[in-house]
Amino acid sequence: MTTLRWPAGRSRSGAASALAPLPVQPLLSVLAVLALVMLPFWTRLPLWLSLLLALLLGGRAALALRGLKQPPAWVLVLVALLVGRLLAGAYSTLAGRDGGTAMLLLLVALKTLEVTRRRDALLLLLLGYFLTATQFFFDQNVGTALYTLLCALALTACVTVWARPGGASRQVRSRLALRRSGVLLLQAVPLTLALFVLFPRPDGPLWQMPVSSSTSSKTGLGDSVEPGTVSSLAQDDSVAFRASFQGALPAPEDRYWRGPVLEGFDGRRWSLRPSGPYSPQATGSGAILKYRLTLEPSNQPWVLALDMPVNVPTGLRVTGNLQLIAPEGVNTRRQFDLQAVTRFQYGQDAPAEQLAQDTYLPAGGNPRARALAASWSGLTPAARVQAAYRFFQTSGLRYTLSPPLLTSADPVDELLYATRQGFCEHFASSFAYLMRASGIPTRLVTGYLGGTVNQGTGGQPYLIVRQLDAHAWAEVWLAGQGWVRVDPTAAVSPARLQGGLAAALPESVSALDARAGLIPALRLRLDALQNAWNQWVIGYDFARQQSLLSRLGLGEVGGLRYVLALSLLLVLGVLPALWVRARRGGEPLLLAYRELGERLRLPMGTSETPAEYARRASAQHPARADGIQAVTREYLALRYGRSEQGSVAHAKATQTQVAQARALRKRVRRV
Amino acid sequence: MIGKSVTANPVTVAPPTGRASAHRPLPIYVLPTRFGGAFVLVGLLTLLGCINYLLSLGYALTFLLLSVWVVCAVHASRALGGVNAELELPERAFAGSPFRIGTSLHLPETSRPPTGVRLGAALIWLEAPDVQAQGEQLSGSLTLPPLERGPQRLPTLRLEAHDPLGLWRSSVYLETGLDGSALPTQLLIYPAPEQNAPPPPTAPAQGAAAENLRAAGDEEPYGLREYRPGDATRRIAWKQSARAHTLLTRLHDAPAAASLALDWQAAAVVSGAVAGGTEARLSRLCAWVLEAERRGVAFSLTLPGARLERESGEMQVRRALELLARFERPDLPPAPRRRWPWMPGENRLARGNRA
Repeated sequence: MTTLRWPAGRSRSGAASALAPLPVQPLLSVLAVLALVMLPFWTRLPLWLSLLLALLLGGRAALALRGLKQPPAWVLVLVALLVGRLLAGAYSTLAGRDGGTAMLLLLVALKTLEVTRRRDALLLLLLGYFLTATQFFFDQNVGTALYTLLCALALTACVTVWARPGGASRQVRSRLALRRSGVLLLQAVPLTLALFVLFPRPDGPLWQMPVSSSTSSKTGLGDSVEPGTVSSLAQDDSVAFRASFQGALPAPEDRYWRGPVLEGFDGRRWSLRPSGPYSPQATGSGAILKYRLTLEPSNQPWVLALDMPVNVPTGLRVTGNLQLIAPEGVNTRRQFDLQAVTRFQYGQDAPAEQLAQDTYLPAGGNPRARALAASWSGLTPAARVQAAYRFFQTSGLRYTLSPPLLTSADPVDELLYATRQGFCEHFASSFAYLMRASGIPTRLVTGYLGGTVNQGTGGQPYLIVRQLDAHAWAEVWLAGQGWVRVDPTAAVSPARLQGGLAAALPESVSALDARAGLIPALRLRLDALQNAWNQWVIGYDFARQQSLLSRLGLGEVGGLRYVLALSLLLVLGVLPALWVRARRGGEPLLLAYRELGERLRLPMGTSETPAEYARRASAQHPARADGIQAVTREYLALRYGRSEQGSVAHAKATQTQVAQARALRKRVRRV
Repeated sequence: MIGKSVTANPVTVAPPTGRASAHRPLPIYVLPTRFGGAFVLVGLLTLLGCINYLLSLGYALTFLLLSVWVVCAVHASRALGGVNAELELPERAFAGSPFRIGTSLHLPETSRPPTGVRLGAALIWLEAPDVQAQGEQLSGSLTLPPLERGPQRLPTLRLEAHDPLGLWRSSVYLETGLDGSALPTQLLIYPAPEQNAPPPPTAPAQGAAAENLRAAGDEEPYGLREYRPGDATRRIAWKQSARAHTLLTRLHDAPAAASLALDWQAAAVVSGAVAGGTEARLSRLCAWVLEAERRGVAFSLTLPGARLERESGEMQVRRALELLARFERPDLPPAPRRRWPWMPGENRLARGNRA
């Protein structure tokens, strides 16, 4: 007996659709949806790549419209390899965030040229969902969230078009598809919320991978300072980080946010010097300030902690200079729960070699500054610091955002005795120079000073610290006291310390002017919303989940009550899908009348006339016979009686019919 | 519908099973499609990325996708509620050639996705053209691949529907039709008629006046009789029936000499060089029976162990074809109840399907 061979249905239908060209309209809708998904990447890609992507999608659309053949696969592979090589050159790696998404976008765009079957179209839509999710690598604000929802809606609508069994129909009824997609997404919302709140959030990443490539632009503080570095940031009013405090805010003069500590000096430029594995001795006094720091992505490793940090959150490390470092860099918005004390002493036990290096100055130059330092040689170290501070207070220096350029070979002399105008980095640098010249170990600390107070949404005040709050100050080492902060800018312009840049520079740039009046109040309110979003949606992590769950009385993740609540919510979350009744089709009046059968639990037969049914129903339910007969008479009159609106337009007639049906249904329910 | 298919093919009568009674709803099986699997895979991959990169909004999007997946399962599980179908077997199905099985679908009056009717690998999607047409009967036909001669088991009729995104497929295995009677489970496949068969042997004339003898045949009408079940509709004398208020069937006859004697031995001899195996003989005999039907002459059929006396008409042809179909092919045992209806069963069709 021979074995029967039945061709499998799948392969047969696949072969059939491979021969026939894909329907044009559904294909165009896939391309349009992919373009929608790719649009936000436009600003983050090199221009040539954006244009190439647009060209590929547009080309595919043109091929579909003209009914032309697609290019052979080897051409696509060649293009992918070539452009991939270019991208690898531009981003230095394709494994990072930027290079990876660029490559993914390219491959998706190329794949559209290879679509020949229904399965390919569905695959493209799945890739579209994935691309939508990658937007969050770059941005997680409210706008992005809404945009991704729009993308999900469009993608799902497109899937309903393509998923129709038996192949996509030629005509796309986009409104119907969008409505279906919207209904599905709405039905999924409760379950989504339950999962979002209850799904266990991990405490840290599963594995580490560079999110970004090394070439992406850097904002904020760098790892070196020369005149002009910090003042360039003062033009930038974008947010560097926010800090929301439990309880009181620190006093304005204590709001020093510690950034890179620069110990290397070449006469002009201060730079980082690798510090050994040394943990300084530190003691603090006064209240411990607890706060949550939300860093905006800076692509830098600095975690700007309030001076002096007391704890080191997991995933961070602390250097010998009391600086918190995120080893993988702050590439996305990150949150840390930190503690600080503002009265402290540290570094009394600093190693001698470090102190020796911190008094190093390159030979020669700045004769007047050296002479000034030499004039203090009879004083104790602490008195020398005092003297230098007093010098800054009294020698007529002026704080300005746009100081004249220091062009001579002796920049410290030029600043202190010639131009007498500078910004914080000028003063801090000159001060440190004087201190080193007089033999006191000194270094430069960059960071931020101050911040705008926002009362917030939940009564929890927080500080917004912007790039223009960037600051530089000096630290001197005194025996017995350790490292002591000295801010020469405060000597020059005390207002900078108390009221920030705007107070210190009333005549300052326009970007700063906008911070007075009604609009700034609105801006603060908006920022509060942004902060709430950051805290509760973006920053919803292990710790927040834990505290929310315990506040709800659900106990720990994985506990009995948690599991019960999770399973209950998961079951309840499915209900919306069950509630939505399938729409009935057909004559509205007949449907309304048919409801009588459901009410009486006596279904009307398919071949039964209303009159027959009314007789049968009246016999079954003698008590309701009158009502049944009346409704039936009304139905027959409406359906078959002479209609008065013979000349009325069709749409109007349908409307009246629907209204009549509704009235009839009401009476049926009363029977 | 042209009569109940059961009468067209007597083998198909199966004892009604008590399981699919109208009171107990049939189980609906909801399984993810391949696309559904890929969809959930994308969701899980995204989730993994979100966990690793601590993307909270990514979680939200991923959970939205996974929730849509779950919601779609609910949609799929409700897509087949109240749908019923009927099968209409072909009057004749010959071995080696594909045949069509008609199907009609009854949808309740709600708007619903396209509904698939599947028999083995053959699948057809039926959809109401618009909302107004919901609640009506839809019909189509399934083309099944060729089968071997003899009684063959049909795959269980399966109705399928997808959710709006095609992530899940729900299926229900029907055993009874619209009116509660069992759906056909078997089909008798007649031998493949031989192409270009030699003319059939005529019966030897009996007696001298053989030319004047007449036998029941197709050639000339000679009278009417009351309709009996099984008479061909084209033989019904509609005009006379209308007058008589009862159905009447025309009687035809043909010269007796034209009648055929279809013999197993003759089929073998004539086949000559083909070395006449059983199937070849049956094919030739089948072609001869069909030829006799076409000519409308009476014929007798002799097979080893069975004989049909000389007669003509629809019933004779059907009896002859059945005899040929069942030759050396025993009846099928009753179908074993399967625990998992979607798994390939023990019948040959399903095995072929898997091969």
